[in-house]
Amino acid sequence: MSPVDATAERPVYFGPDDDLFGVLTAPTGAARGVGVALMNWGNWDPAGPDRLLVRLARRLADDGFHSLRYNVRGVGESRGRVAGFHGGSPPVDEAAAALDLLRAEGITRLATVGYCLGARAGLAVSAAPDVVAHALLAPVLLDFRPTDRWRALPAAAHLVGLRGDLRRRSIRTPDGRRRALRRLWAAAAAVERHRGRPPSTGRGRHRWVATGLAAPLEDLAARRVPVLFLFGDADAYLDDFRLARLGGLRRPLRRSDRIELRVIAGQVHRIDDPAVGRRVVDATAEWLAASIPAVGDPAPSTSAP
Amino acid sequence: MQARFATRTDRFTATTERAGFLGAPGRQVFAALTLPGTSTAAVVVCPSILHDIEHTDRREVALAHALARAGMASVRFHPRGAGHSDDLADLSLDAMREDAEAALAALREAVPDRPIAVVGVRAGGLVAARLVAGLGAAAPLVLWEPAPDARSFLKDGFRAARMTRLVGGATAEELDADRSPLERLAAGEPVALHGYRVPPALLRDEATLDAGVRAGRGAVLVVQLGPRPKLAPALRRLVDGWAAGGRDAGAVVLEHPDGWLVTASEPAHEALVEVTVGWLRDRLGGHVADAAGADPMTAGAL
Repeated sequence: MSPVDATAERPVYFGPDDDLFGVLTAPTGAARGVGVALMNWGNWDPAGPDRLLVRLARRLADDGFHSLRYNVRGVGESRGRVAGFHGGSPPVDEAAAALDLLRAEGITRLATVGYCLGARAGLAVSAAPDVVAHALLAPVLLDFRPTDRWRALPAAAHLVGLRGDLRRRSIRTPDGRRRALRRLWAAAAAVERHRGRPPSTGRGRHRWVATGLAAPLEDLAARRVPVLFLFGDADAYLDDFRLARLGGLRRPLRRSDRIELRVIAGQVHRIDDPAVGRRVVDATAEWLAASIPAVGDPAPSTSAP
Repeated sequence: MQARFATRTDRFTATTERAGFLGAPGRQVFAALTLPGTSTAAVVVCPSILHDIEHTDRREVALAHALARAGMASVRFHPRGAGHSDDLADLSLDAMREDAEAALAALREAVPDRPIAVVGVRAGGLVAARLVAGLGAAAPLVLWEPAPDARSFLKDGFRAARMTRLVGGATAEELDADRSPLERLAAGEPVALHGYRVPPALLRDEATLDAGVRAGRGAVLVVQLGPRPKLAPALRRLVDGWAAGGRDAGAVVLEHPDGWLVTASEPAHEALVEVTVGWLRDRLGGHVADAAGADPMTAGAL
């Protein structure tokens, strides 16, 4: 159990008309002077899946970070309604308001930790010069509605999956043959869907990744801002990342050695095991501590994925 | 870091919301009070727990806002070991009742001398029934699809988790490997349910909803939400038993295709909230006209 409890925490209403709700957590040890905005969207638990945000905030306090965990509109104590979930529409206004609140607290160096679509919200506000690190926990790499990921994938994703099936010889079983046929059908359908469409997502310069993710990442790479991609080895989104690395993510990943991929055991997207939640907290906190030097310390070096 | 509660007041309705922490360091409970300009009654909402929070939290918020429009103050809370509250090694119904009593005390301090009612949400019904029984007065009790006991709540959860995994493509071997979570839990083995750690103390609790309700004296309403057109047999038996014992007990079935599921937009809550507020208003008094008004959450206002 974390030594930090709610005593170090201050609930706050913020944003336009105080519509939003969050909890500020103060460092319990020596303060680093860094405020971390914890962004969650894709889960209706106001504290994150199995209290992920609460655990992370209290762990970060132990490590000397300030943090703000908050609810997007329509979740928890924040007013408003959820308009709907779509990879291309992250809750950006809330993310900007969260960073403004941390600035109003007098914190001059900021970081974002976003879970699922919350990661995209963090990237959307990444142009601010005082944001010095971004952690993306199981981020959505393509633009799709819930249950629509299969249709959003490019043909290449299905073909890569088919290649894996062939390598594993899983088509020897009836289930494997059905899956292989489904992949072939999905690849053909994806080719047909993308025929003649403008190259906004999944094609062109940002091939196989959403422009809303690739474009800010290119900017962060140019500025050498530390970025963490954290996935579970059972995450379907990890497959999306591996494909995007061959496409639209290739440039930023080559350009910066500060963009890091970490893969932990289990399923980070839709966490189904509390032990995975603990690993997410540990990995994120360790990365933040290593990536954001205290004022006066030399910048740490990280390896490219 | 001075104030322990955040406060905001709606400029149109004069309703004040206060969210913050109750209790001593190490045992702090997160609570949210919704206080209309003038209130005729006070309502404690006992939440559900574990994975259910995803399905119920926003509905509890909607209920609090509707109660305020009907002139009833309310308090919601996160039990220790859940939500924003302090950690608790083994979340239990007894600990939840202590937290509910702390929330009730905060509500009484904010709006003294008002008649009290209690709403229990699914597993929170077990806590709500005990809280009402301890009040002494004949406090009305609303139970949103309550669990007859903790074991039933967990059993339903594990069954739903199994179905989710089946639909997600889990093999028969994978499902068989996780066949007896209740037995493993009883043996003290850590067990996860939809990604949430299930505390062993929950299973050890032998209190039943029936005993809790029978210990009280006030009217009881059971509300069921889901695709099923009839009240579940287990709940029907309970309600009939309470009515046969002379209690003012009834049930409402709200048919909805999504039931307790949450969707990509907003959990279904309108009918659930309307029935609950209307029933409480009839027993406690309140503003009739305001309760049926449009839900201002749509516009972002309270």
